[in-house]
Amino acid sequence: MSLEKEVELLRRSPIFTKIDLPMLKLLCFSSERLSYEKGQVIFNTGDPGDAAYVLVEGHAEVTVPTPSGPLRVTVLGPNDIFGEIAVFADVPRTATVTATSRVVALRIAKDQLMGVVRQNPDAALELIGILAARLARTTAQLRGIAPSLPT
Amino acid sequence: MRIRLEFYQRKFFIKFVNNFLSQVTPFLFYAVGGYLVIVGRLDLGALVAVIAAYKDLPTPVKELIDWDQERLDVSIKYAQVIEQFTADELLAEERQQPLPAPALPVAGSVKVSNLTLTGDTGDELVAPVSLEIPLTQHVALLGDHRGGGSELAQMIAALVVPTHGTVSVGSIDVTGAPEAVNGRALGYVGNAAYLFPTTVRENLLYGLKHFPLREARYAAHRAAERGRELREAECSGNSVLDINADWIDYAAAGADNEEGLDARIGEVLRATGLEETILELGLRSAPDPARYPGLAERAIRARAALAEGSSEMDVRGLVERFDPERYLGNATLAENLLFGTSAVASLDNDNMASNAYVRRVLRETGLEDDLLEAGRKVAATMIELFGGLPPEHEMFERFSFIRPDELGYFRELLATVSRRGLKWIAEADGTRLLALTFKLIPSRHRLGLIDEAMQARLLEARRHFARHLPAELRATVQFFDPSGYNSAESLQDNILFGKVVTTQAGAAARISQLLRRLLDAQGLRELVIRIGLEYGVGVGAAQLTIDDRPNGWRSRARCSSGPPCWFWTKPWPCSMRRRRGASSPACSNIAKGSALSGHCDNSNSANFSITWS
Repeated sequence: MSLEKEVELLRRSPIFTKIDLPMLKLLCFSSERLSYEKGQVIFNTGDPGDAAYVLVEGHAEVTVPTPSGPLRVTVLGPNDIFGEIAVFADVPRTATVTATSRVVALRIAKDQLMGVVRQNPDAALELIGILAARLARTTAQLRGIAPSLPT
Repeated sequence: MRIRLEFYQRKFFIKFVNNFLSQVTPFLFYAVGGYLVIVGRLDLGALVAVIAAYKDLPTPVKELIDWDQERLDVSIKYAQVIEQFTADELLAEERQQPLPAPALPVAGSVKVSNLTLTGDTGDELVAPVSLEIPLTQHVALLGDHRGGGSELAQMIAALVVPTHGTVSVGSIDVTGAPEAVNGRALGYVGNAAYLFPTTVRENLLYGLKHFPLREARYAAHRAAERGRELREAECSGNSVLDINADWIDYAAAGADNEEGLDARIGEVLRATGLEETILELGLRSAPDPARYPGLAERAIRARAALAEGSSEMDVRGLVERFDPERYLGNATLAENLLFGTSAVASLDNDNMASNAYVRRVLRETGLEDDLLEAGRKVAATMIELFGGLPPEHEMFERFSFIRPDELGYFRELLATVSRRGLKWIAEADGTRLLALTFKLIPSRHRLGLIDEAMQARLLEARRHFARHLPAELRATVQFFDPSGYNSAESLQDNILFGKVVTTQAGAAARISQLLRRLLDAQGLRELVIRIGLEYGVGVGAAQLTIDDRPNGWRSRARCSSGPPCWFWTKPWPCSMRRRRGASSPACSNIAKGSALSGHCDNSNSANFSITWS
């Protein structure tokens, strides 16, 4: 896939729509395009967060380790961004992401992503919106399973 | 030294002859002339006149005076230099003599009595301490770095002379024993031990080299030289021990011969956790096949085994093999064209575009124009992507094909090209554009400039390149041959025989694992470790990672199983514990064969420990 197609893909993602084209191209050029096999772990909970990923092809699942086994939080498909929490909050990975089919992802390194967002306040606002929505979703999930948790 | 002596001697011989000749003439005047005057054949006045005219006498006297001044000058300088070497607190000479095989303590305890250390400024570094520890015990001393623990350990290990007090280990009084004994009996690993800039093996065996044990054999002319050196050393009071002799004390290492020593080194590497690093170094080095007979064949067999691939060793998705009929998506265009390694700089990745033969190949295969066009597109993309960035931005170094200071040149060049077309640009400019194209890696750069059609033509160019390679370049190029060993490439690259697929996540780590399994399956482990041991550690151990250096020091101490006592200072037990999660396995690993029970207590607060075996 060429650079142009990747840029197109990124533009469809809400965060990157607000970023201007040359910057987006630079971001794509400096990212790595990685393939993962089915079942391969992309990153584990607790790993240092050094990059964000954009799914280009395939599907992956996000799980969180619990005492009773991994708990599936969500499923990711093409065009989804993941891994950005650790990049922006400078915390270790909050979840494990595993490929459920053959996956191709764009790996955007932390420095590059931070630089771009810093220069594009609109993109930052978009990102905040997405993270807030995610938080709301997670809270709702917790409320859903709260009765079954031991006190 | 000998040469200088020669020169010196010759110079003074000439001077002597000069002086003699110039002095013998007046002498003859006096002798012969005088006789003639006495006999009456010569007028005295004439003789005097001749001699006066031949007034050479002052010159030797002047030279004599000069020489005397020089002598005085040199003797003052000599006195000053010698003064620097006479210090008060030097160890007595008898204690510094090397000994062939001194007796070592094997049982007893370490007795420290009233040991004190005062620093140069008068502050007390170690308060008077007395203790007794049996040699069979393993002890950890806890405290912070100002507590004097390192100094205590160093005093017991005979590295620092105590101000007061005595130390004895078994039957040996450490404070009075000769260095030859202390050096063999006690080992110390501190915070920043020194690694010599030689090979790993040399560093490991350093601790075994106490005294020349087996004489070196010399060829006839070398023997005469050696005799001269020996005489010189004796006359000037230097050591007469031969550095070319075999100093390695095999017995102290617990081995009978070189093979036994290799096995012992292997054990030590496993115990100190350095084995993986050495294996890695061995794989990364490019050993000379002539030095290791059988290496090339075994590497090729490993390569074939990898290619066949079983289910556990499936390397297909991870390595793109060098196939003459395929274009390598994970290699640069230059590498694809050359399809081999070159010993000369002109066929290097960076310089291929300026190589005349390469340009000829491109012209003859009709690729030149298309590649120039591709280069133009690359330049345009680079300017578009990086043109707006400040010059110090790190992205330039990491991703851009064009340096910040070259941007202006390329902008102008592209402007010229758009006006006049590619055909009319200068050769040098064309080379710069081609240099950009040559750096393209399809899988990494994804600019879409090297499509399938272009790849087919480049394959044709590859074949053309190999067929018509001129004689003078042929000797410097080793093409990738599936059945040949390439001595310019590392061992790992020879076995993999391909490029790592960087787009496959985690490829490097998995390949590493596969290689380890392959080495075991093919029985190549010892050979690779042997090769790895020959790796140069660099000045200040620069070639080893920071984590590995302490392992290197410990391995050296551990290699000589002779010393009954070793001393580790921080932070070894703690870091090992954190890494492995349990202290005993780490300690008992190191102490194979001795009575070390191994425990690291209260590790998080421990800052150093003394362990005895």
